[in-house]
Order: sequence, then structure tokens, then C-alpha cells
Amino acid sequence: MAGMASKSVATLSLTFRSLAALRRKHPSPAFSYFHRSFADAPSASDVALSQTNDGTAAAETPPSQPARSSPVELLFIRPDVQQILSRLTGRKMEKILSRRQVKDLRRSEVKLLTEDQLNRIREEKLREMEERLQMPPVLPARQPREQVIVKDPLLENYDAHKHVFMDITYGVKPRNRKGYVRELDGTLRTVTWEELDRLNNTYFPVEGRDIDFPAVYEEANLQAALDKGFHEYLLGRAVVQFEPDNPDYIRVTRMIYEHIDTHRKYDVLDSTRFMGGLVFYLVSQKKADNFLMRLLQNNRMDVVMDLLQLHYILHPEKADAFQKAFDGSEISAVKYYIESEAVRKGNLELAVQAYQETLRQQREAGATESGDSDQAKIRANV
Amino acid sequence: MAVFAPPGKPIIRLLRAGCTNRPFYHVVVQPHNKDVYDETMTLEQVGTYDPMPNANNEKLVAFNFDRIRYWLGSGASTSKAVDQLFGICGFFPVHPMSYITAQRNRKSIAARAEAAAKEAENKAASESAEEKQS
Repeated sequence: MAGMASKSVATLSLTFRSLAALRRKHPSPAFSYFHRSFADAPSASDVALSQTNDGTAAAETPPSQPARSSPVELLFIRPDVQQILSRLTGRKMEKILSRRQVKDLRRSEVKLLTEDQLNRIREEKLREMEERLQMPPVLPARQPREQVIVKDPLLENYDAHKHVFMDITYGVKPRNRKGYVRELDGTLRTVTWEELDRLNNTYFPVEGRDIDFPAVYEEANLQAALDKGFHEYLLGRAVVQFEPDNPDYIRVTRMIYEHIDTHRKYDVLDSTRFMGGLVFYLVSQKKADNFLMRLLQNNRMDVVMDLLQLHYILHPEKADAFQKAFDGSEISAVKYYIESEAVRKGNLELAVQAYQETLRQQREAGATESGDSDQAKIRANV
Repeated sequence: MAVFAPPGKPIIRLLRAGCTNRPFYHVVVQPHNKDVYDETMTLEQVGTYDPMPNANNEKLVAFNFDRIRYWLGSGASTSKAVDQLFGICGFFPVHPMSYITAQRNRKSIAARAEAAAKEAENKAASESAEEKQS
């Protein structure tokens, strides 16, 4: 009996081990990233399993440090990163609430409201605005998903064309739909991501999504469109057309961000839902120098600090030294960053000096006025 | 006196739609004793089958497996064509006729290849004979 029990336990652990290995090899669909807590450490069960198998301690990094091998895109969904990106987006009301193209025209309503009702509607509109500023997800490129189910050489030449099957069961998310292909040589396999996208498009079309690959996203056409200034339109269309982990989507968005960075057109995406993605890309690729320069020139020191914080979350190697410099002062933190990480050191140092000069001038101007300013009078009265 | 037949056992089969020279099949569940094309008698549509290959040389088939499982569990039978499709996609075991069709196709392809090779040989032989003569 004991022997039988141990045999069944061994079989069970073998199944769990192979399942865990399979899960590691083929990570679960991207949407689960949103519900996962962001330690980059493996789960307790994985560690326990690997320890029992090898007999030695698992060589995994402790939960406090993010693992170097995991893609930086996984850090996008962290609450602190999201807050920083949301702050970096900006809230220019004139731009967000400006006239835009809508599907259904509405008549304007004139209502007579109390203060309470007006405030409640204001809050509602602010919430709608925040929803419209929700950032499209940044995900690592999807890994191949196709698996051979069975090889059947006896079915070779059954037909001159392969058969593609899709499971159209109701209530399944498009990413989780099952598709199967019987090839000409008789192999039965699951569909690739590209085939799944095509099948979803055939049986469950999405409004605004083209059937074929849009010609505007080919390299030459994309460059031409970007030169004409269609950044926001192209990003919005890409979000509808592609899944966020589609390699095409990643390539297209990166090209658009590079174009913006090269031509310093950060204002185009300011106060839009795409600013977060732009900043995340620049900082994760360590290409944020031009953007930092622009911020220093506009005296946006608060945004600069957010940017630097984001940098040291995504690249935590020198975070401790930065923290020490930050405890000193904001300017010293910026100087530390320029010294250690920046590429265009000379220009950035000049920009910092210019900013310090501007600060000094403002302070002097404030000091000369403070003698007979209204604020001073109020302070005196109180 | 009219006799009303009770609805027969359900069967999952193909219903040809589409246009002239362009077939398109709906996979439907119907009572077996009703005419296929009496579409008002259809209990449910559980899929489609497009026999015309698309630009990627694919024949697209859609199956609502959840509902198919329900009907199979309720005692539905399947037509031979549907049996073959289920076998090709792995839902059922592969139908023997699929294997037979594949074998026959392979045989005819081999025969045609052999005939073409023989003709090429004859042609080459006759050409060389002509050259020798001239």
C-alpha cells in the first residue's frame, strides 16, 4: 500500500512539475499580467518544486530585487510606475476637452442645476476624462504558441488545401479561442498567433480593425505619414488594429516614438493617452536625454524628478547612489543622473545651469517685490 | 385526418448555402426526418464550412464545440461529411474514408508523376533518335 501511495505521489509531482515547466516555457496570456502582483520572483510553489527536484536551493533572485532576465515591460503595470506616467501625461484641459470626431452627434442640453448637482456632474466628467486618458498596455512581444498535437502521415494528400478549424464557443475571450490546423502532410497542430488574429477577424470582426495589414504601417509609408504629423492618429489606429503584444504593434509604436524623439515633438502626445507609453519607452531604452533637456528648458523640475524616479525604478542598478544624491537636493539628483547615465552630458549640464540661473532670477525678482506685495500685507494683518 | 410526425432524432449535418458555383455550408442540427433545406425546421446552427480555399490555401471551418457537445450528449447523430470534418480537426477519431481518400489521392499523384516521367523519357528518347537520324 505504501509503495502504491508513493508511486501515485511521484506521478502527481511529475505532472505538476511538467505543468510548471510548460507554464514557464509558454507564459500565460498577457491579460493575466494585469492581475499578477509585481514581485518578479517565482511563486512559492515553483521554488518548492525546483528544490525538491534538484535537492539544492533554487538559484532564484530574492523578491526584493527585480530579476535582470525578465523584460522591462512587465514593470509598466506597477502602481507607482502608473502614477508617475499618469503625472507625466499632463492635463491640458483645452486639449483633452477640445472638439473631436465622434460617432453619434448629440444635441447640447441646457440644464438648471444646484451647486451640488453641478459639482457631481463636474466629478463625473473628470472621471470620464481620466478614462479617456487610460494608457494602452505595454507588453513584451508574444512568444510562439503553436504546438503539434499529432503527426498523421496516412492523411497526407487528403486534400490539396489545409483545413483550419476555429472553436466559436460563445463567451470565450478572443485571445483564448482555440484554433487547429490540419496541414497537407497530415500534421494536426494548434494555430499560430497570426492565424488566430486572422480567424478572430473573420468570425468576430472588430469595428475599425482592417482585415489586411494596413499599408500605412509599412516602413516607408509610416515615415511619410509621421512626417505629415499623424502621430496621435496612427497610435490610436494601431491600438484598434493590433493586440498590444503583437510584434507589429511594438514595431509600429517604437517607430512613432523614435520619430517624436528625433524631431522633439513631445507636445503632440502631451495630455493624450499615448504619452505614458512614449515616456516608458524612452526611459526603458535609456533614450530620455532629449526629453529631459526639453523639460529643463521649460523649467518643469517636478516632471524631471518624476522622470528620474521612473528611470531608477526601471534600471535599479544605481538607485541607492541616486537616493543619496536626492536626499541632498533636487539639483544634485539631476546632476548625479547626468553624470552617471546621460549620453548628451554637455548639453544637459548647460541646461541645468540655465535652469539654476532662471531660479535665481525668479527668487531675486520675488525678493524685490515682497516688500510691498499683497501677500506680505495679508501675512502682516494675520 | 392529418398525421403529425413527432420531431425526429437530431442530426448534425451540412446545409449547402452560398451561390451557384460557390458552395458554402452551414453546420446545422436538424431532426433527421425533415428535409435539409426546410430551414424552418433547423434546431440550431453550430458552425460553418467554406469548401473554397482562401488566399492562404486554407479551407475555413468554424465549430461551436460547446453546443456540439450538448447535442451529441442529447443523442444527436452526425452525417458522414460532418464525421469526416470532426475527424480531420481531431474532435472525433479520423474517419476511415479520410484515410482511403488520402491513399487514393497519393496513388493517383504517384501514377500521374510516373506517367509524366515516362512521357519525358519517351520524348527525350525520340528527340535523341531524331538527332541521330539527322
